[in-house]
Amino acid sequence: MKMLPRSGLSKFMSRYGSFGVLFVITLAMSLANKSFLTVPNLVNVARQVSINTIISAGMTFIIITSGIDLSVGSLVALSSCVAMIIIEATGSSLLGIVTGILIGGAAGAFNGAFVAWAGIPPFIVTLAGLTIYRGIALIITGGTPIIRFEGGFRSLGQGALLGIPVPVIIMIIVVIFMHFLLTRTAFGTHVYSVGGNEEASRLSGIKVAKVKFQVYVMGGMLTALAGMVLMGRLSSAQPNTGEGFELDAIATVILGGTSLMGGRGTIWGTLVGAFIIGILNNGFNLMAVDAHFQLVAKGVIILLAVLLDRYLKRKQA
Amino acid sequence: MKGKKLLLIAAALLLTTSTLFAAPPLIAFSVSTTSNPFYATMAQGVKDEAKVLGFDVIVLDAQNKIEKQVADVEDALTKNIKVLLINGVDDGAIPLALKALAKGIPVMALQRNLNQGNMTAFIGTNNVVLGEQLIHWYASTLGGRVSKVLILTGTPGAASSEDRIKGINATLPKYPNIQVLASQTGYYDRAKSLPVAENMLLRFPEAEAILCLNDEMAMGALAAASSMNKKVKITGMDANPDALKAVAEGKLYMTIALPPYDIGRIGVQFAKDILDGKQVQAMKIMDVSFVTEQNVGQFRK
Repeated sequence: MKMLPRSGLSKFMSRYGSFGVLFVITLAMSLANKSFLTVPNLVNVARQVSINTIISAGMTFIIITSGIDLSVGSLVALSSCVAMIIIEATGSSLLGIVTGILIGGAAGAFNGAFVAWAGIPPFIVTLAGLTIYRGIALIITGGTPIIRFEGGFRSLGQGALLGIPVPVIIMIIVVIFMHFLLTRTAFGTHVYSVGGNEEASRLSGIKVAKVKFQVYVMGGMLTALAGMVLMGRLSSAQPNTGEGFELDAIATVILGGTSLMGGRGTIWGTLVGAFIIGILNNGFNLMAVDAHFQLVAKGVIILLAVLLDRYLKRKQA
Repeated sequence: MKGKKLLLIAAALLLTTSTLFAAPPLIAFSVSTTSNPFYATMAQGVKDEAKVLGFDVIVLDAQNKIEKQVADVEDALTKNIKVLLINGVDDGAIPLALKALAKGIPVMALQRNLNQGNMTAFIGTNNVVLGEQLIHWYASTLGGRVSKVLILTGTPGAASSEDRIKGINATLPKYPNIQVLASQTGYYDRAKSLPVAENMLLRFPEAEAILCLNDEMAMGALAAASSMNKKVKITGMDANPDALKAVAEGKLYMTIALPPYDIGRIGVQFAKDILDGKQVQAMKIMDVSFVTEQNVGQFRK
């Protein structure tokens, strides 16, 4: 890296370390594979990262308050199963989707209440949530997926507006809204403050418990929204879907430069983190990398990415 | 009070002796879990065939817990059973089977092979053979024509997936006309295989078929193909209800149905043969059925 002149690009890269990582990975993938840098594939990647990005946007807020949410994968399953049951019963996609998102909010409120007011560590609360929501999803469906090849809900996953897939549009709206909320509102300031120094926040009159409660409710609703997109993509709701989504979301947020210790992080960074993971998966598939090798490569690259991110940031400082 | 107790003992004695001498021979089937329809169907096959062949049968549901299976089988061994049919929860069932054998009770391992060679017989399907049969079948639909295919494999390291891959790889050299463009994992999961299938179809638009090592991934690949408006033949395995529905609707090209009911039935038939002093096949690998639009009717209930 020392060979590079201090051009505008390298300054930009060092200020936004994760952008630099994304740039390097994109470059490597384009060189390794001719079908990577094509419009259909980039649209494809954007659509594939949308679900993880929507979940991770909520996760970013939670992690900035120095919390964590391990229940997102199970909640994707629960919210989509509830929504599909309502759609099957009433024939109304809208009613199903609204109910699904409300279920997400309710589960988030359950998580948030235990974290904010009972003072139980978020890791434990949401670990309990992980098994509880999965269990409820299995109970209400009897363990079998619900398939439905008709209905408006499918446009959430399969539709397109002006050539842009609906999941991508939803992702863009979520990212812009959450960025605005985090950087331009008093609530956003409070979120940073609670994660940075809880005691100081309390003393300066911020209702710490309320802020924590709110980020979990929001996270739950966004997770459910992602569940609705997945349900549309697959034309089905499955009680056993979403396993491991929490790990992808956490990795995404960390790759985006958000600190697990709280108080620091951005939504843009999370978007970049989601694309890093999405491009890795996409590139591995395009190059037909062996499945066993992929597991190792993905882990190594994520570690290197975080190292590079730190290096670029330190250079800036 | 004392008289009543004595009466009870007498009744119990009478009951045991009548079981010993008059009642039909007793066999036990210890099954991993009947909450999985596959094994529930297998247990039904055992019960139905036992009735036909004149056995009394006790079915013990281990609820997928090896410690419950241990207790179940130990109880059964005190009940003078003639044959033990066992579908092990995991390899923890091996010592159980050996215990029964040591008592002179023949053991039929159903679907889960418990340490081949030690058991009286194994009856079930075999994942290596399943992989072989998939390729033989696909080749038979081609008639020698060249076909480029993609493969979606299961969770890396899962024995079923690795064995199926082993069977596929061993058979492919016999059919040079089948060209595998890429093989990627979909983790046996519908949501996870959707983007993988999309990426592969984008990279290899010339693919004629996607062979998936279970139905969940086949359904994910189906969603990928439809989102990309691609016409591609997709095959699965397991014959899940929604996969069968997709086959009936002409969306899924093929799925493979395993025969749990027949595995149960043959287990009992073998038990009868053994008790009659006949030899049985030590390793009975069951045939599977290839379900397509033509014959899907007989597999849907």
